[in-house]
Amino acid sequence: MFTLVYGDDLFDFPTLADEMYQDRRVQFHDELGWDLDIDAKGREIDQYDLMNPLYLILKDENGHHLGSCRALPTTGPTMISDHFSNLTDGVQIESSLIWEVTRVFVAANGKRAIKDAAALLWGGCQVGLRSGVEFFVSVTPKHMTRVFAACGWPVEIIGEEVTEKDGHLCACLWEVSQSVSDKLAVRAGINPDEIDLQVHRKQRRAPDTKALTPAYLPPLDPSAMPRQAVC
Amino acid sequence: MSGFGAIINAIRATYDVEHVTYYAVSLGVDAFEREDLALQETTNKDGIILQSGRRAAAVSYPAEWLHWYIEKNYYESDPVLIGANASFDPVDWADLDWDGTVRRTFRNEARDFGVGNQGYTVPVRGPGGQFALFTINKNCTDEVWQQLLAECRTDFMLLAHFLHQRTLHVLGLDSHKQSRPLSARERDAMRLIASGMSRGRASEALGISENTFRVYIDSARHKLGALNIPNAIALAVHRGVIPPT
Repeated sequence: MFTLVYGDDLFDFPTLADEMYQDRRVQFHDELGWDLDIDAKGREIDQYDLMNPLYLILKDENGHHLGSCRALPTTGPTMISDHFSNLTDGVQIESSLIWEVTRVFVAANGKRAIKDAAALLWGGCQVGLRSGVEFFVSVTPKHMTRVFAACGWPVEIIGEEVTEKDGHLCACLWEVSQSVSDKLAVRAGINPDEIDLQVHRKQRRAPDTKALTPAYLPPLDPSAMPRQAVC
Repeated sequence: MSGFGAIINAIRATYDVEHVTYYAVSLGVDAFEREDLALQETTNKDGIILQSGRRAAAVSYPAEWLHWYIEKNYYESDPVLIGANASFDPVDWADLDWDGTVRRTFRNEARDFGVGNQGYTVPVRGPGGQFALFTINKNCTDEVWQQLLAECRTDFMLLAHFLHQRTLHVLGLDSHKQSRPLSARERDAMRLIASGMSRGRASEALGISENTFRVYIDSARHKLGALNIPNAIALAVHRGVIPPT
């Protein structure tokens, strides 16, 4: 149902990744008319995709892209902080307990769309909960805030603006909580116990690092140091 | 603030866990240019183990385990290092890939050396390629472990970033961070909460929702390098960011 994967590992899912980037192009570039970079394969990929975000991808029965979003910690560069602090009273939001969630996409499948959106939001809420995160912030087109509300997880709008270039945009926040997660699961019609939401960590390599050599470690003479405290 | 050994031990006592580890896999590009750090190649006065100014650690693991880890070159196969590399969402060690002889052996040896059967690692990404891991280990049943995580995940996230910020500060690698001032709105929010006003009334006074207010306050807390709001208020007053009440 879900693929949860970091940008650096997306090459393990080339087709799914292309579908996601292309669906994003259709929605944000073709339909909303945002001024975004599109590559030769018709994919919308921006600078934040290159910062190793965590993608949550919702798949249909055949494994095709149905919905997705990406998360970045606000302790690093984010869209809301880099470009939209005019919508947040000039505050550059930055905390380990707040992640930015952007490029939220759900395929327009008639009646099914709200159910899919609720499933996607449920997945995001779960990942936030188990990470100890308290809020998600986002910059999103106004009409998506109505979709989120219909799913049972309304955003709070911090600030909004209407521009000719981007239309009606909202800087908004979600509070991450168990009660919301429970509500979203019901709305999505899923049993949380049956869903695999593990991050894809296959094919990973160790960080490029040499061992701390023994010269940098405390001596092994037990009388010279407390048994456990190295520091 | 006392040395890192005291902080690590305080965390162990507070959460009743066997071990606490902070390990900066990379201190970032700024550290590479600091020759003075490169010269501090032992445990420094703050209790940080430094290597060539590029990596740093503060750990409570037995020295025997660290020596064994290095002797066996486990840096190349440690499933925690591999699984958490370049990420930012915390990981329960039970969810890592322990398949294969090398990895299973590593796990069994870690337990034999007293690392604990449970582990939880919070990765921290920072500017200039900084990457650090904060880990807690405990010997307990799955039930006790899940209960601890359910109650303390947010604390562990806070502690991971706190230790990273402290390390950068102690090593003089946070000059860029310190120069970033709080916005006027964050100062307003801090001033109101410092005056003893409730979040509800303070947010009303600023004409924003209570959750927006919480986001601004938490943003200020993080920028001040504080673990909680009272601590953040004290630091803000101390640094002259807000007037004393």
